[in-house]
Amino acid sequence: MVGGTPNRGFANIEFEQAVMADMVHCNSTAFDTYGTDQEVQAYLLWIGGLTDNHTAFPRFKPSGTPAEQLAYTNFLTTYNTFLIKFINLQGNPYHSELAGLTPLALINLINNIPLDCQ
Amino acid sequence: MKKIILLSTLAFSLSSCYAQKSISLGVRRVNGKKFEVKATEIQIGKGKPGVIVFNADYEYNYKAPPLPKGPHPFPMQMKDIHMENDKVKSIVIGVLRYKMQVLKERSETLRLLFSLDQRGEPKNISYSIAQPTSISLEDISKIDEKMKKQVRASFTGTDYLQYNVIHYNMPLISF
Repeated sequence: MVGGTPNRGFANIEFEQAVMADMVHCNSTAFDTYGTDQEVQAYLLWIGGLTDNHTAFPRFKPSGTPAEQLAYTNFLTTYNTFLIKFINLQGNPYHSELAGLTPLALINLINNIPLDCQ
Repeated sequence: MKKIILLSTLAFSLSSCYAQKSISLGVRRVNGKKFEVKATEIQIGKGKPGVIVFNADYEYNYKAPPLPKGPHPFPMQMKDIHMENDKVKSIVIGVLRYKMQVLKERSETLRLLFSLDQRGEPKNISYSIAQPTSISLEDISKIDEKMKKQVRASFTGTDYLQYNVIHYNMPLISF
């Protein structure tokens, strides 16, 4: 911040790190505490789909083939859907307020680690 | 020749016995229990639509459980949840034994999400199944009854004492 009102920030660190941790540990921490059973289940299905049922990390290629570009766009759309649900969880003290922000830290990380997490 | 015709007929009738069907959506009563069947927002497996089957009377299906006791509780870690995975699998396989060949041929899967209380008792189990499937709602009802009677989880550490509901995501069961 350079004078004036505080900057809203440039990261949705709470949600982004929860998604990363849940991809690694097959868990649902983003929705476990403050979400309904249905929200937890929907989120787990998404994480399971992203990781081929917790066996491999995805690769995102925004400049790849049309199919890879579509997969990337679908990922961002669903990520933002769950981000908005996360923001709206009643009683959740953790906030990731920048709906629509591309999770670049998460994408950079999973694009640069071994597929099988070894 | 007669033997060939007989064997072909037998093979055809066996495979059609457990034909894949879509489980119809909505609330249904099976063996005295009410189950809700809901289409998933997310596709299951390789782009297949799916359903989630769960206990319709469970109070936290559409309502969040009570807030944790502390203001910023540490999330539950998988290492602190101890579930009898082998027993869970043996119950599923035991109930579906008579369909096992068909389930294997079609590479079907079943995903279970347990909602446990602090004593480790399953209060609700959600079943995610790709559609169409050879698994029926009656099968799920039998599995559910056995799970609730026979399966218990235990916890280590003290984090679980913060929560009224502890979720456990069972590794995917692939037939």
